Amino acid sequence: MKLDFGPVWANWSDLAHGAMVTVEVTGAALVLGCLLGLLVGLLRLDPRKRVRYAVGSVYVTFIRGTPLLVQLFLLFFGLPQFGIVLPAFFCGVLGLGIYSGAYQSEIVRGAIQSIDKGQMEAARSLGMSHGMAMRAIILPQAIVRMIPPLGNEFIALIKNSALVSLLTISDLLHEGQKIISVSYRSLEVYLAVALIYLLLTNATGFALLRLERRLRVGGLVQ
Amino acid sequence: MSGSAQELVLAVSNLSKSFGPTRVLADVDLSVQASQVVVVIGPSGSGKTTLLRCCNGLEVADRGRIEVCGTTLFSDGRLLHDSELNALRTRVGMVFQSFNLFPHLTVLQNVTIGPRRIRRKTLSEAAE
Repeated sequence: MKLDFGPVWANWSDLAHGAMVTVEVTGAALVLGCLLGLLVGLLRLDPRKRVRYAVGSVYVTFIRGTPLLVQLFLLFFGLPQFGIVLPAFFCGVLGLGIYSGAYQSEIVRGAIQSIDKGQMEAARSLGMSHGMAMRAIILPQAIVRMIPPLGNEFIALIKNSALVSLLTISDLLHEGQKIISVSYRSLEVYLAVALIYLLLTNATGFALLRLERRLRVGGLVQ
Repeated sequence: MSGSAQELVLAVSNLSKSFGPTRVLADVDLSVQASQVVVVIGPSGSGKTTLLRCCNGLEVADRGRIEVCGTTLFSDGRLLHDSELNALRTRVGMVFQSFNLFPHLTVLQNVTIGPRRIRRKTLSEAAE
């Protein structure tokens, strides 16, 4: 058997374009996921606040308990039945963001709850309100603890973004499949696609590692 | 005791607090005047910390009354409203058993964060 990477080189710009789309979808979903994650993580801090806790829990339970692909199909193929037709790219970002937000909310909650209770009490004893203590004292310490698990989550998000190719979005995987459909070089093209994903995920991992080190040097950690 | 001693800064009366079946504070009375130094002594678990935490509103007692600097912090099982409580706390210092310094801030920031964030003072004002 002979490998022929000719089709990969010949269509390099298509793959690069697909990679850009993947980065765009993932980046936008990441922002949405972080916002949702922070919001829902804060909602679920105190089980005694029943309504807030319940709202957060329903979200996390449903999103974490069903396949991402099903959620994406619900948005893209299901919503049009109500006359809600969203552009494919928007559906991809929305679906990935909502999915990632559920996982990120648990990261946020865990990190906040790992900060010593006395920190909140000390802040409150100075006369800070709960919100101010959260912003000035708890979150700056919790964020450092969030970074390693968030790194995992960001990398998972990049890989999960391959599913949006099934919503007709021309992401990296979708571009690869288009090349295969005319060249029949599955192995070579998928290898190239895998390699580009590998680059994207590891670049992200590296960037977060650098960020974590910088925050440690900045004294943001015990 | 010195100065205008008769000013009452802390007045606790009939304070009671239980954790489940364990009665920690049983009808405690305490009054502290300005410039007075008071020491509360007792074996561990006797409620010293609980008394102190009640006086800062970190713990809610069951019965009794607490007045700090003329403000009623606690009476009839009810704590002062949150915003008034925060205002009162800016005037009362408290050192915790484990200190609870803020590890993400410098020493100067640790000391000045209260006045800066809550009373909106500048760093130089607070540093004094």
